[in-house]
This record gives sequence, structure tokens and C-alpha cells, in this order.
Amino acid sequence: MSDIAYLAWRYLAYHRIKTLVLIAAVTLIVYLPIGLNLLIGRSAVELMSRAESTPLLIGARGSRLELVLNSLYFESEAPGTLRFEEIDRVEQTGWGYGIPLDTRFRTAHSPVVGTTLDYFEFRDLQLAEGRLMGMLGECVLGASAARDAQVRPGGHVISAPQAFLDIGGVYPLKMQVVGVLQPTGTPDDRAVFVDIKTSWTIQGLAHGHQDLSTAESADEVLDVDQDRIIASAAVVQYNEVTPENVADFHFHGDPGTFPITAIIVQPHDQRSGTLLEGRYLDEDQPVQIVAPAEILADLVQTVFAVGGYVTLGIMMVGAATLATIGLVFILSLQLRRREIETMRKIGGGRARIAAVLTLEVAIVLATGVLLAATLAILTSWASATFTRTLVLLS
Amino acid sequence: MIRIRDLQFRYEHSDFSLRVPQWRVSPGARLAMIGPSGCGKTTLLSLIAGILVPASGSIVVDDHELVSLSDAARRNLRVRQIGLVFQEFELLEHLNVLDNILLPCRISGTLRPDRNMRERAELLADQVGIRDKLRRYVRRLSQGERQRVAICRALLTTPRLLLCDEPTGNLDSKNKQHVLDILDDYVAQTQATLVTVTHDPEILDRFDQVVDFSQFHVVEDEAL
Repeated sequence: MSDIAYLAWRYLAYHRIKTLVLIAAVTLIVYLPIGLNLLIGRSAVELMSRAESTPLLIGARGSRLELVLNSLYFESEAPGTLRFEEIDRVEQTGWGYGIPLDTRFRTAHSPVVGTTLDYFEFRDLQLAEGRLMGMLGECVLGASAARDAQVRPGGHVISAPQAFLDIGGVYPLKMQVVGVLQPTGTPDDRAVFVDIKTSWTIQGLAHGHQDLSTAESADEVLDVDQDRIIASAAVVQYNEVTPENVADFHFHGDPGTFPITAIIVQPHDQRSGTLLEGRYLDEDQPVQIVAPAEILADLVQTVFAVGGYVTLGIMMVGAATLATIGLVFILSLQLRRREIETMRKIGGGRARIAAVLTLEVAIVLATGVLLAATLAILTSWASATFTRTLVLLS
Repeated sequence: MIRIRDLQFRYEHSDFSLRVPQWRVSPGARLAMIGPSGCGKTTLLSLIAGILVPASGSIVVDDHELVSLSDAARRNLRVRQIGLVFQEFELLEHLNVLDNILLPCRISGTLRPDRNMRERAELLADQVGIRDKLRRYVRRLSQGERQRVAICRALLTTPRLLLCDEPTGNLDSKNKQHVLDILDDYVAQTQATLVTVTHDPEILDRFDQVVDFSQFHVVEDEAL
């Protein structure tokens, strides 16, 4: 190590706390705007990737962003609904087919996504173990949903009650886990997938109870009016679908009128998609069609704009901090006048002394920039996982 | 060793000025300079060391005319042939004892703190009794020990001229004698010239010559 570098290093090492504070300040000043932009950029990629793989969405008229976030990320607490028969309307056009989604319910840890087996093919979801649901009351868990609930095929998850104080409300449904999906790094990882009919069962549109036409049920029957049997509250309601009682589960009403929260529409081609969009232009209709990529592109643009302002703010704070660091060095030179004078008296040239002082500053700046670059590389490397965890899965 | 003729010096932005018509110090002399505070003793030492440059006149140190030398040449002469000891020790607190002793090598750029220099530094530290403290930071040393470090630094290059500015000013009686003994031993061994500024009448008998600085012409409020 050269003598100049040695002297500079000794000064910084001796004043290590001051040095570390300065390095930390420089690191943050340099890293924050870079790291923020990396994260925003990566988040945009992740957001757009899922949106771009979902051509069209049909949902209840209202917030388009809400519809997209709910259907792609299962985020909404109370999504609007449309009738299941809307799928028929799509498919009758011959321009595409639809996959129903019902995301109104949850378990303790995860959103429950009522859909059909087409969804797994559409999202290219692969099983890690078990099988896909085949019977009412069965469910397939995303990788992190299974981890959070600590269940495997053969275990159970229970739908969360919607209203704790409503004693007349729907009972939680105990669902059998029949499969666990491989991790995908998407919101599908944290979902509990059930058949759309199971979703309606959670709502109470389908239910199972003891057979009231048998002699054993006579105590629970209050009145019989032709085909209609009125039972007391003592009738046994099933809260789990089993092979033994599955035949007792039945729907009341027309399934075509049952609610779903969205339809993922896969048009056969671009023209079909455009024609389908045209079908839903009428704002008086209770349903709307959206292209998720367009909606999220607007969101991403807004995020980038906000990110730009934040970056600008950080850079202004950074400039102020750099100015303060400069001031600290200048004040430190004042405090070190005697030391500098001593070096001069015992043979140090002005240039050599200046080189020592400059190198001290350079070491602090270079170390800060190096650390910031390292953090930026790490951020870039981990940003995919980080943004999936923070933005998509949270 | 030192020849001064028609020396005139004045600080910028100050009314103080110094005039020395003629002064000569023989090689190997042990000389003490006394005089009232502010009369220019330290200024004269700085001029002899080549730290300050006179407005006019001549300063010859060991056959080198300082006035005609470049800054770099004066520094080189100072590093190699002149040892400086200060009242306030002037040690760098962020360096340990060894690094403080080797500082003239590191900061001058003309000498290298090589193995010979390190061995010389360790030998000097051994001679003044601080060998076991070479790795300590100077703030952990006593006043007497700090001055011994400063003396080691001054003697590192075996200078032919030692300029000491009140070297015992901050020391107790015991340390004062110890420091003077070290300087005496060095001068005796190397036949170096010793010029010491002091206010302390107790130590004057340790010198061959005592010069009352008031013999020189110190001018206040007068333009040169």
C-alpha cells in the first residue's frame, strides 16, 4: 500500500464511526434511486406478465382496476358479481370461451377461488402431489397456501365464516384437500382452488342435510305441503361433503343465475376479441369487459410517474446530503489544520498532503458507490422473488 | 552550520516583522535561545528549518542557501538533515507510535518507511524507553512519552541539525531531565548541532551557549 493510501486509511480506520456513517450516507444516496427504479421496473414486468397472459375479463360494471386486481390477484374484499350464464352468452358468440371465477370467499389464510378445471390448463398449473378436484367439496391448494395451512392431500381446510354474529348465516364448509400445485411465483400459489359449485356451496346456494322424507326425520318435519317439506331448525345440516352424503347436496334455483365474480375470456383470435369487446360497450349493461394488460399498463404508467417523483425527491435529498458531507469534510479540514501544518513542517508537500486528504474522501465515496452497486446487483438478482413476494403475493 | 545575513521577515496580514543582520551557529554547537514571548524565536526556527521563507537576506544551513532552494528542495533538506521538536509534540492522534515516528518518511515522499527505517524507529524507541508502546495510539501515552515519540520522529533520519521549540515546556521536572538527556546523548554521539528555544532558566546550564534573542532586531508596526 502506498504511503498516501496508508495514511488515508489510518485516518478513516481511526475515525471508524464517522467513516461508516459517511459511507452509509453515500451508499443510500446512490442506491435508493437505483434500487427503487429496479424494483418498480421489475414489479411492472411481474404485473404486466400476468395481465398479458389474461386476454379479456368480464365482470360486474364498476371499477375496471378492481375487477382486474380481483381476478388476477384475488385482492378484493367484496368483489361485484355477475350471473354464471354470462359464460353461455360469450360462448354462443363463437368468438371465444370463458372460465368462471368466484373469489368472494376465503379460508383462514388464503383466498378461495371457485373455477373449473380449464383454469389449471389456462394458467399451466402443474400438480406437485395429489390430483385435481373431482367432487363437490374437494380443493386443490397453491404451493404457499398448502405451506401456510400446513396441509397435504388428505387434509382439510375450512372456509372462513362471513359473519361471526349471524347465527342464521352459512356454516363454514370443511373441504378435503386432494392436490397441491407446484410453486409458480404468482398469486395462484396462495389460492385454494375449488370447483365453482363448491364455491356456491360455501355461499349456501347448494347444501346438504338429512333426508326429510324418511321416517327417522319425522321429528324435524313441521309441515308437509304437497311437494314442499317445512323442517325445524333441528334438521342436521352437513358442513362437509363426503362420498356418503354427496348425494344429499343439491341446489335450489337455476345455476345459470348463480353469482360469479369474473369470467376469463379467451377469444379465438384478435378479431374475435375485438368483436367481443364491442359486445360490452353499452354502459347500461350490468357487466363490462376489460383487457387486463391495458388496465395494468395505465397503473404501471402511474406507478412509474410516482416512482419518478419519488426518485427526484430522493435525488434532491441525496444532493443535500452530499452537500452536507462536503461541508463535513470542509469543517474537518478546519479542525485538522494543526495536523496538516504538522505534516507540512516535517516534510510533507502541499500536493502530497492534499492527496492524502483527497484519498480519504475518495475512499469514502468509492466504498459507498461500491456498496450501492453491490446492493443494486443484489436487488436486480432478487427483485423477481422480492416483487413477487411483496407486490403479488402480499 | 547556520549562517544568517541581513535576514528580514514579515508575516502576511500581521504587523510583526523580524530582522537579523548577522548570526552564526558553529557545527556541533549546543545553543539555547531565550527571550520574551512573541519576540520571534519560533519564527527564526521556522526560517532556519525552511518552513518559512524570508522576504530578503540569506540563510545557509549546512552549506545550503535556503532562499535559493525550491520548496521541494527545502522540504527534502528538512526531512533528511533537520530534526524538529515542538512544545506541543505535534503528533497525529490517528497514528500509533511507530507510524508517528515514521511519518516523515511517509509524508515526504522522498524516503521510504522500509525495513531499515523501521529498525531505526524501533532502536530509537528502545533508547528512549517506549519500545513496548510502538503499537499504541498516542492519546494513550503520558506527556513525557509523547515528547519522546516526537524526539524519535525528529531523530529518525539522523539529522545534523536539531531545532527544538520549547521541548520541555509541557513536561514535569523528571521528564524534562529525561528529554534533555536524550537530546544530549544524540548530540554527543553524532556531533549534530542543537538549537533550542526555551523559557526555562533551569535548563540553561545544559547548553554550551545561551543567546538572548532580544539582541536581534524585532520590529513592531514598522514596514520593512
